[in-house]
Amino acid sequence: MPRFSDLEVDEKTLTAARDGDPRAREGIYRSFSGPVYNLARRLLGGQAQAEEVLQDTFVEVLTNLHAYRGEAPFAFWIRRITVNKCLMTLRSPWHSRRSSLELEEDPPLGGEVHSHEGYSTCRMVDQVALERALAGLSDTSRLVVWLHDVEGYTHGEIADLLGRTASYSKSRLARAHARLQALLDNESVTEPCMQVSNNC
Amino acid sequence: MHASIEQLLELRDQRPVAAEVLLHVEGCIACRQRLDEHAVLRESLRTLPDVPAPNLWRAISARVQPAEFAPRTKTNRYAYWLTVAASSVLVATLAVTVKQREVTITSSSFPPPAVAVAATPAILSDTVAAADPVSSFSAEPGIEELVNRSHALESVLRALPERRVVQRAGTTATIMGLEDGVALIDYRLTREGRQLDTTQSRELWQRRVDLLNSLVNVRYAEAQPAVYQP
Repeated sequence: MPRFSDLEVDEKTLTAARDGDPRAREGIYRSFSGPVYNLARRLLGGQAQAEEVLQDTFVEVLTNLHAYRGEAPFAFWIRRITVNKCLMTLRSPWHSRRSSLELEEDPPLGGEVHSHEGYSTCRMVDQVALERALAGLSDTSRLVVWLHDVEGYTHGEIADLLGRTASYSKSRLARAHARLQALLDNESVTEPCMQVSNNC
Repeated sequence: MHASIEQLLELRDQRPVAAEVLLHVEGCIACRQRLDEHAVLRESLRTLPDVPAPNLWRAISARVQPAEFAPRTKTNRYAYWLTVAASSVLVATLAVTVKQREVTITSSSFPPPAVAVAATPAILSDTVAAADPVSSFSAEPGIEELVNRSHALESVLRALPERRVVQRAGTTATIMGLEDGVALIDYRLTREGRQLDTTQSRELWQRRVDLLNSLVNVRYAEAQPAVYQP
């Protein structure tokens, strides 16, 4: 499935969508619904909430197409709206797990940093285990690690989103990595890659 | 001393780190292994499989009204302001009617007017100002005046556009609460009308006017076109 950075909308479609062409609007939805939904699912960790964000994001995108002025790629404009919607959901008192990003911390995991035994670069991280480990992160840590490592946000951009400093984002990312690796190691969830005998 | 995770992540992302950290990592097998692991973890995150998005297009297109989609042409702007103007003129006309029935005219303690009046476009401001209900109602309105105000506000509500097919839950709850409040007062006025004395009856009508006024405000705000604030 394409990512935001892989997608762009031509000016003709954009103009048609602005003018109310239903096919152009639906085309935009079809192109971007996958990346929007999956980003929301990763940041929120829940299917129902991701569906709400998917709806809210496209309602905002389609009703505000006239506000898009082409200063950044269209895909990044949609991504920014998606991330903002996710943050609104995480900050909402209705968010089922925690009421505030500010107070959220990862639960302690005994000696998680230094007891790490490591795994070779020749070993692939099991996807199911990684999904489980991601789900074990706090909302903020998951958001920081995903936006930085996958979406390519800088620490400055993440800091702006969270209303914190770049140092806070760096620290969060380090702690998220430590916890992910500890969860992966503790559960013995890595598996050797197929070329172990040849390359390692 | 080994490099910290934060330092290793800086190295992984090719950001500058202190020279001694770089030297240490280059010569330390353990640190190099951990650096590789962080890179593997990032690649593993990036290759996690996506899932197909549910098809919510019908729900989304239902929420996005044609009026909100339409380009902001002059014709649309005129149509929008014409609706606002029509509502405002209706309020003003009814207010004048009420005014003609009044003996005492003061302007101190009437509850805030509906947004429909406050948001009157400039082109109509003179017309509306001449018949502003705020300045034309008495300080302690009688029952007859309150009944007339109720009718006026109900007319404004009818003049507002129909609600969207899909609404915000919070707004809907507010509107339902206000409508329930009006319905409860109507029930009491109907069932207990003869047993109520003038003061009680007046209080109920005043509450009815206040609730309708709030309802007009909420409905009017809901009918406004959304504006994106980047």
